[in-house]
Amino acid sequence: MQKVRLSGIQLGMLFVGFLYGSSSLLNPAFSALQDGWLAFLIGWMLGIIIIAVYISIYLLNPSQTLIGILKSNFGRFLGTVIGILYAWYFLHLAAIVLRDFGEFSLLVILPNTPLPFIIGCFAALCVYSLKKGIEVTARTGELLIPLIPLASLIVTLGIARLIDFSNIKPVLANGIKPVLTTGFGVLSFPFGETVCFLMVFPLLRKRSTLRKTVFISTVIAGLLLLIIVVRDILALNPQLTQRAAFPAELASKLFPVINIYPLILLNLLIGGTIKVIVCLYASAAAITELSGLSDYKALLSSITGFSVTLSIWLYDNVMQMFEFAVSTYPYYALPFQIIIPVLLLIISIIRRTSERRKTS
Amino acid sequence: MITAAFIIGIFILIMITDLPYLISEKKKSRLLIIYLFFILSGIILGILLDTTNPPENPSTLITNMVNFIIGSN
Repeated sequence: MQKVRLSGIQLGMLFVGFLYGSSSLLNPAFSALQDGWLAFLIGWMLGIIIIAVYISIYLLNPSQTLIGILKSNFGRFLGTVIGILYAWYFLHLAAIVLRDFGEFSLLVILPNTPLPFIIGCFAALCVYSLKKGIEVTARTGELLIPLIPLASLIVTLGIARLIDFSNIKPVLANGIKPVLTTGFGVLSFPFGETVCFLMVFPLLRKRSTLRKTVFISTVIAGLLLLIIVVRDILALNPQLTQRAAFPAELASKLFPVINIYPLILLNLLIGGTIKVIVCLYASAAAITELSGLSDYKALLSSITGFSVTLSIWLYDNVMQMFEFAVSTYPYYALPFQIIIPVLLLIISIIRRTSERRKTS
Repeated sequence: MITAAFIIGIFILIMITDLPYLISEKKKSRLLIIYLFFILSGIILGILLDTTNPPENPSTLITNMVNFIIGSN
């Protein structure tokens, strides 16, 4: 496989774009109503812990991708089986984000365009970018990701006159349980999804900068998402936020005089594209490594084509999409995002300790 | 038949653009097996999606599985 190297800033930009991706549109904390900000804070803190687990796994197994780490820790057979499951999960995640983008475009900007055409065009852009190499996407991210906070700030400041701080009260009116459940949802979407980066970390030029880069990126992306969550609660009110299909798009409509929803679309185009690209790369690289092929680019188009078909097949309608995201996805993603990585970390620590004992 | 035609069109285009990669790969048979698996499953799925009785979507299957495991209705 061609040697590709990413700088710390490039990896950081990919990380921010990935976390921001579709989360900026869907508001991951909407089901906790006025306590959404608290649920997001809990999910964010748990997210930082789980991302620290991913970093530790990589640092304990340096220069290895997730597939290599799985094989060396779980053994060849079990590692391959779990690797195939991860390849499926990354592919499924790419299909989910493609469908999010398709549904948003269908509902908001292109109501008469067939869904397969919208998703197909979006996927074609992702394949084109990945065929040039993931470092090209990372360099594009360096240019485009700084636009994301700008777009969010314009929308937030534009609707600042509608902010009503009484919308945040009463705090914990329904008890702590819905807040914790939503916090768990925030952990799985978007923070836990960064498990995909275990396939990208080996591309980093200086391993010593990994911890700092990823931590700063998680804090920046978390802050941006927190601003969006709080803005939606204060300006739209919690009930409207919960009922709206895409709260960010609704918030943009409140902007005085001009229509600025293209700015929201800009966020999705930049963040969403990076998220799909990272997921497709992770899936293609995982399948390539599992099958012993030399270049992930040979499989990329066929995997993306399958992912487009899968994204059309995923849901019957947009309501099923939201129902799946809230009720099923956190439990479905739990083994991939938390259980297997925590097991991997424990096994890696035990192996490292026993190796040290042997050498001493 | 719009969905099926569109999806089949996409896959034909994919196969044409991927020819250089298929030629340059050393383990051709292994690559072809995986490649054709994705291409054929995509085409078959695309055709099935356009029928009057499409297959149950994966989200419903995953939801049923999750509900069965966590014991929820």
